[in-house]
Amino acid sequence: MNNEAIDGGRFFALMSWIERRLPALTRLKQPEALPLILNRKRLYVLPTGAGLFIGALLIGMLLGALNYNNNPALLLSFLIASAVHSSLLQGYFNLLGLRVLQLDAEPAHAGERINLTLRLENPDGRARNGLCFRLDERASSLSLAGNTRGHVDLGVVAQRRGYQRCGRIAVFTRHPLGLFRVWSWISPDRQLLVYPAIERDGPPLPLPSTDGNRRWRRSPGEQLHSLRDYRVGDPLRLMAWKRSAQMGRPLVREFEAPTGGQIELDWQTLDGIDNETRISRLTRWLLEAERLGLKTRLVLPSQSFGPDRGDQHRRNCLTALALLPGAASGDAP
Amino acid sequence: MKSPALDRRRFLWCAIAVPTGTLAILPTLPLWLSLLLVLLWAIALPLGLRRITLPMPVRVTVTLAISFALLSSYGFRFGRDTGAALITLLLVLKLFELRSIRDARSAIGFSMFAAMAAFLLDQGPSMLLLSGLACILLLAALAEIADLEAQPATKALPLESPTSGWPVRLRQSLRLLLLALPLAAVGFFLFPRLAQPLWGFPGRASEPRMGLSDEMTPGDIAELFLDDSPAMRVRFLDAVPNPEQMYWRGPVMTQFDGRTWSRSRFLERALPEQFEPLGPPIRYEITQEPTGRNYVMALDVPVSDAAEVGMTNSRFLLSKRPLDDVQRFELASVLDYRLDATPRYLTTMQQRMTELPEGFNPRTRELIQRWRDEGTDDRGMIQRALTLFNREFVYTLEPPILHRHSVDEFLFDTRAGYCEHFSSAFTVMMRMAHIPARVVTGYQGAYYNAVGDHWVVRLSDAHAWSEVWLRGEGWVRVDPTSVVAPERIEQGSDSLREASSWRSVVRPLLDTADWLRRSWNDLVLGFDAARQQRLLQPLGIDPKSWRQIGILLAVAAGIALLVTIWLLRRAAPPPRDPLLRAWDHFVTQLRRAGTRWRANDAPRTISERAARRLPRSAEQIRALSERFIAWRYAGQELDTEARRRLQQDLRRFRIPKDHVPRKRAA
Repeated sequence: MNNEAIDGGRFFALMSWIERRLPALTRLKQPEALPLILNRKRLYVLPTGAGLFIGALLIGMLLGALNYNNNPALLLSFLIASAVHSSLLQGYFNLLGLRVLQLDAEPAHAGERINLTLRLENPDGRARNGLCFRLDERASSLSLAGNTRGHVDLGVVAQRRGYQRCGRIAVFTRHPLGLFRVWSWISPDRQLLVYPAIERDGPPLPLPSTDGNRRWRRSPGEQLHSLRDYRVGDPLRLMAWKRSAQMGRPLVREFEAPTGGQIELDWQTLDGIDNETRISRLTRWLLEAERLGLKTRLVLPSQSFGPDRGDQHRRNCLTALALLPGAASGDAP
Repeated sequence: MKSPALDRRRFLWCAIAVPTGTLAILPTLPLWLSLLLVLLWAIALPLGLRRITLPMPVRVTVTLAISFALLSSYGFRFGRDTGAALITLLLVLKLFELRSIRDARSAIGFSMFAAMAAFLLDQGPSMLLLSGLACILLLAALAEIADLEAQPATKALPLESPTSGWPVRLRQSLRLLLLALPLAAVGFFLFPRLAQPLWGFPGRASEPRMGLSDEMTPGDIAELFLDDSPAMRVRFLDAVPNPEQMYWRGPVMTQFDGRTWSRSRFLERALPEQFEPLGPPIRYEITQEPTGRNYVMALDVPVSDAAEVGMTNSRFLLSKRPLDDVQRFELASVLDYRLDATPRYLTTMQQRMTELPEGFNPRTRELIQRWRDEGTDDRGMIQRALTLFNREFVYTLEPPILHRHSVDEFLFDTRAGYCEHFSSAFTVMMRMAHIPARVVTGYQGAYYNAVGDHWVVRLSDAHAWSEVWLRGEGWVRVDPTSVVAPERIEQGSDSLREASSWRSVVRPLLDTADWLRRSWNDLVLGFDAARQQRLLQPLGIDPKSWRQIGILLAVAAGIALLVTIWLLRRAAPPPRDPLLRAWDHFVTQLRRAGTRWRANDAPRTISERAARRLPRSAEQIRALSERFIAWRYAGQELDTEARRRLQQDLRRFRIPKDHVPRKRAA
């Protein structure tokens, strides 16, 4: 998805440098609630490098035509200059009035990428082409036909467990000629939930011995439930190698456990290590247990969940882990 | 950071658009260079599509070698034409290394510059068409590249989607240009013109010279007579003189070396003449085609000179700069006048204007001496000479070749020639009789273009006549040609051609084309500082006040911008779904077969009615309409392939041939 072409990286690097030097520029960029409309107060225009080059050439052409008193040459120069200017207007109207409806985000673990989906609406009859969006060094683009909605996928790296601001999204376009860049900033006041990081190398999930052994053997009662994408921490023995090769991406088998085992993950039992390691170990165990189809009961210092299993349960547990004291609040810049 | 690479599609766009900007320059180049450029382009194209880049030393060598050859063919003189040729060459060579977005953009920019520079060589409307085309293509190429920049390479590009095909792209680009028109017009008409050039005015290294020259050797103008292209266009502001009175005065030749007449720049400055108009002035404006010379043709004789034009003592007009471009002049002339030598310089004038080289034309000298001996006075001499011409001479555009004693041979042997021969011989005869005389070259007559209500003086109207000085009358125009071939003067150069029905048929077309050309000349080429002032005056704007012009420019540009913005914000109607269009086609077929339906009828109603009417196709009609209804109303999702098939089936539906629509009884 990342692409050098739509990047505009150097430009926005320059912009952020300027903003560091002139903090007054950032005062308009307080987080704000969605939906919002890109109005003229928040649109900025500057020529691109190519625009400056064409501009210099146009000045040369105008001077030459004036000097030679050559009317057709003058006419042509004015025509091109005026077309270039209309392209500026066209680019401006390309962004003006665009509605940013909402920002959807899936929580992710710290260190992973949070996938964001920005939903947009073109309320006018004219098409908007070549809309580019840039967040966290990555850009993607979109075209919207008249009176349609669309969405664009963005991503941001999850930093620490807790809440995180999604940051400022640059909306820009160089449509139609690539000579001007019209841009705007969106800072949705949206808090992104970051689950704790998953511990990389640590002791395995303390399975109840009898239950655990049973699980690793194929028993007739156990049914292959489905295949899903590989996630960090999946045991290799669950890999569906043949299917992975066919599909071109790593897949793991998921089993429906006919008889639900149960496991207790207690904050207190993990004594002697620091809190963050505890949290990430509990997180890994929780996910592993969930994958094996076990019911879990998570016991934290002030609350407990379950025993239960399923998405809702997992989300509740992970959220609680994420928000344990010491979490990022997201309000700090 | 390296600029992103160009893909094949964008390379093709650039490879077509970039040379288009230089297309207008191509005809002005030496033939070998034009052919070479086409060849180079034909090589660069497949190389670029296969992304083969020649090694650097090869490219540098080729570039240097061809540039050197080009410069040497222009004799290493730098003029506008050398520059234009060089930029054309470099743009074509640039295609060999056009591989990144940045390369492409700079090539497009310079190509725009080349399209502008082409106008410095020729300003015809055909050039405008070419540069207009170039503009559309270049803007489209810019848009293509901008799209490449905005599309992630990893995403499948919607290459086949109807929004990015080349006709759509060209249409968008044309739209952008049309949107640009109001603002461009404001800039063009209101932007202050320079009264003086900012820097030197480099001419051309090799200038094409057209029309009348500085010299006249009898036998010279002949090729002009065959050239029907216009020399200038004239619009009379008051009364229109008769065509036979239209003598367009060009350079006056006062020196003769036995073979060739030429101007004497010394006499033009040193020998003042007295001028006295005897009639009302006639005002007119001429738009003269480029000649590369300084002569401005005024009606015989001009009373005033325009800015940028000076008048010589022998009353012909010289522009300050060679006429490299089409130029407009507003002039006034009187047809009745008295032009006499200043008394103080009378003897000098008489002496200089009767000078002839020694040892030429003895037989003519003898004849003149005989006439003088018979006691003929000055007037009589003129009369006798004209009578001689009238009696025995033939007007022809293909005269025999003359040798050393050209006048002798012409008068006594060949006795055939055209205006140059007559005026030259006549002037020599007068000078031999000690009557001051000189040759005037210019144009005679004009062709009336009814479509544009203007007069066209063509190169074929080129003419030469004489002026003799008579005591008490001053300089008097004598046109010996008029006694030999009066129809030449009365009907203009057309009389020399056979009238054909073909000409009379296409004449209105030619007239219209000429009128268009004149309008172009008038509106665009002739729009100078003076015309701009006249445009501003009724608005109460002082053309010398920069402030007022600035305000006017800002207001007009603001209005033009509002128009552009209004046009931009208008929503384009969304294109109708092709499947719906196919359905429309289908039900139109049914109506042709006699099924009656109204626009608000449901599809099933229509198809049922049609099925009853066309029992043999009933199954097909029902099946088709059910498929359509399922998509349109039952929300059935169709993939691309299914859509295409349904669309095709609807379009392919035909009424059976043997079905005869029943007329419904009244």
